[in-house]
Amino acid sequence: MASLDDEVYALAMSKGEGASIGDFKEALAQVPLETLVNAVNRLLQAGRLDLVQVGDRTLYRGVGLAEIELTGRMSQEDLLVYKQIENSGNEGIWVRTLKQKTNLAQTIVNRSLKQLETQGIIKSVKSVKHPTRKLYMLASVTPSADITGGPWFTDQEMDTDFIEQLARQCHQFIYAYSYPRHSPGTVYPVGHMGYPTAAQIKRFISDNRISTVELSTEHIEELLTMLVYDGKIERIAPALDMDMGLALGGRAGARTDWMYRALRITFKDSPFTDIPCGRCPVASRCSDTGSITPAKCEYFAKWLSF
Amino acid sequence: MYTEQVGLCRRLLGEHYGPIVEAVGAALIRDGRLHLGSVVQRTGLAPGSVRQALAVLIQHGMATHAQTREGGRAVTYYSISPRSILRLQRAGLYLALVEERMGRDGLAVFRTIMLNGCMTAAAARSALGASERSGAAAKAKFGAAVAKLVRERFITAVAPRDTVTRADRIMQEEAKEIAKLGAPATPKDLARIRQAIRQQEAEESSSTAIVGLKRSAAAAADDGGPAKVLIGPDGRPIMLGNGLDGHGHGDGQGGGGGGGDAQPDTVDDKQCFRVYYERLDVFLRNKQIVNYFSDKYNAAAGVVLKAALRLTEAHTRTCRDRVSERITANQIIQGIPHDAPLEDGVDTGDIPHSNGSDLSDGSGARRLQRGRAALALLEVLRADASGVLSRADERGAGVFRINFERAAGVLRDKCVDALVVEKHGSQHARIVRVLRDKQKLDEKAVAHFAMLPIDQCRERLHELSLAGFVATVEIPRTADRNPSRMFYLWHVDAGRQVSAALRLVFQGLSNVAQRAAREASCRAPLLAKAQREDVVADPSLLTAPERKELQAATAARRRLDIAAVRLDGMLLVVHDVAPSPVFGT
Repeated sequence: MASLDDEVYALAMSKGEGASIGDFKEALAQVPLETLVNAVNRLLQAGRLDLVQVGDRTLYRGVGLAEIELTGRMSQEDLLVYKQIENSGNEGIWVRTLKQKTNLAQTIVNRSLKQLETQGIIKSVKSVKHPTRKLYMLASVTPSADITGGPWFTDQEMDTDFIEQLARQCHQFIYAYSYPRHSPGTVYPVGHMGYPTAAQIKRFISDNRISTVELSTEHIEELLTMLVYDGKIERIAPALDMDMGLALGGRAGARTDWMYRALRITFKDSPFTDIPCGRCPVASRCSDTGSITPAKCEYFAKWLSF
Repeated sequence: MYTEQVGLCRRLLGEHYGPIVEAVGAALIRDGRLHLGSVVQRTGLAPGSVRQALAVLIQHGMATHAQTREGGRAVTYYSISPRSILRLQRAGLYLALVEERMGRDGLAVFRTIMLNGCMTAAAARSALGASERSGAAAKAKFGAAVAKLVRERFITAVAPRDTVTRADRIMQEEAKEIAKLGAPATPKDLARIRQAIRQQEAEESSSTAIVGLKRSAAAAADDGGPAKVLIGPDGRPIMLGNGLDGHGHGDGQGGGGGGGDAQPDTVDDKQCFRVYYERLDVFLRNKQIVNYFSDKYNAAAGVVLKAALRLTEAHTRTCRDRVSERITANQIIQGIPHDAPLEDGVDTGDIPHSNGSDLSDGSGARRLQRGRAALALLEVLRADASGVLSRADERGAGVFRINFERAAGVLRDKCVDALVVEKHGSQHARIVRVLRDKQKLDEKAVAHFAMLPIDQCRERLHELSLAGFVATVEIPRTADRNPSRMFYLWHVDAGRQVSAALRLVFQGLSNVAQRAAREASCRAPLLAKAQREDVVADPSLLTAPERKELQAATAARRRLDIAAVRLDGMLLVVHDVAPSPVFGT
């Protein structure tokens, strides 16, 4: 009997996501179904097997020895809480969701969480999406990018300085390749393929160790999109892709390797930059009459005497 | 209408025509369509003064009149156009433009007509002293200058009906047509009549016929053709003798001198002319388009686009025209001035850069090189994301069109962005651009694209919303439209955005005008002294501190004038070139 239990346990352990009763029947065809079911039940009672629901299928997952040792010491409530936290993976679980799923009272859930946290089994993290929520996950698990916010977030807060710094470097790199070096006033003709792409910019950032955080091409594209919206660069479709894109009506899934060109236009020469009214702190209260008028304006006086 | 706009209009009227016209104009702006009695009552001026002020406004095309029958008596109502008043501050730009295109002779005639609002060629001639007694040469020079101004439509003929308010004119025509029916008009008849009137208006506004020119006796004797000169489909005048230059590409100063022999058409002395402001705004708009592309690419790209725009000018009547006529690459290349630095404009790699020594190799090679550079620049402009220049046909080196509507949109967006950057900051401008591109987004999505923390993004969105640059739209989740169960999506409402930008521009212009008035009033005694005849003749009559103060006053005036001109450039783009539907009048 013990050998049958070991066989079933070994089979469950060999299947990563868990084995179904069908898998056990197939592997142990000589064993009657009733005996097999009894063995599975014994293993479940001993905590060596874990019941997992995947869609409409019920699977049995083998529990590792370390985990058996760990969970063996836990009370039923702690175990229930632990299992839910473990199932949440790297997404974490909110305490209210935990209460709903375990059907335990709030005080019991809190006590279990405190105990597990003290033992160093679980940890709490804050999500960038819901900064007020405390999420729990296993201590060994690294939180997902959805929770941490990816490379743009430091301590659950968007690191705008880092983004601006990186964007400046990207802009400088793109500008260097946007106009001929021997004659900066000249432009490249249509069809020029020397404008940088997101992949090239990523390589530039990693080669020059501009960022200590690992950045993917998608992250660089996010940064470049921001620069496009800043009016500093523009996106250019490679000639071939552009034609195909038009021909195919922009078929989904056909990835275009956009190139980027820096723009010379800036907003420094706006007419409102000339006059003090552009950045006037009391512009909203300025009128023909009253104490703040253009005729009495001190900023105008300073500007005209400059 | 904004308070600042009303104030600015008043100030402009006062500066150009004095306090009586200012008061009458202000009453019409404030209260709209009024009859003489109402204007007298509102201004408290003598009826004679009001009548004269109205005549001045009508003479300068700022006010219109319309007579209606009220019971047994006829009442004349007067209306004013604030848009025409605002054009007064552009007078310097118009004069500079005319001097550039028409030369000094053209400028003298233009200035005379502009000062008088509306006058006949004979009256302008006598005002300029180019009458019979001053010699045939001066008369011919004057005739050529006026003919060129008329032909290139810097000035246009005025008919008595042009001073009648448009809405009233349409109603009168409608009433006339209904009267012809002899029976009460059915809805079908009314629709037909209105359609016919609309069609007639459209035909008149899109007509390329030039009124006010007649063939000289010698030229007319050749074929005995009609008196009118028409512009042909190629943009050049037709029914003129060979070798006549109807457009004068880049001829600058050459407009007046020596043009008399080559242009046999003469101006009808009895015809009244006025400045064609709508068309002058087209030239100013085109300058802004050229400046935009010169800044974006380089001066050579600007030169190529300028040549293309010059070709479209013959057919572009107002800034409302959507697209240009078709222009070939050949025409554009031929319109580029010979000294324009095209070769330095585009890096074609295989084209060697020319210098002075290359010219000795022959002009053919240089011309070829310039042609290739021009074609490459045309392609660069065509590939621009704005879509201002588009290819209409692949024939030959290509046939192009200029999309004025898109150009207006690009200029307007640039102005709005500049205003947002100046008033709020670059992150706010980023948010506006995100919404302009993506249209409707919730604040989380805006924060994602703008790469801003959600709380900062929300704060900036509300600031922009208060300023009128962005707006929200409600998407109800439930049928009861409960506010707590709504999606609020942010978007850019073009009308509101233009309105917000206009308010800022008017405020800026009004502030500059007020400060200029203040600067002039606080130094009025000194300025009056400086303009005295004896002081003008002998500047040493001014003391050293007075001279210093005068210099400061001149510098301040110049600085304020420059600021006003630059702000007016913004006004042209936001108010006249790309008007919002709300401000379309």
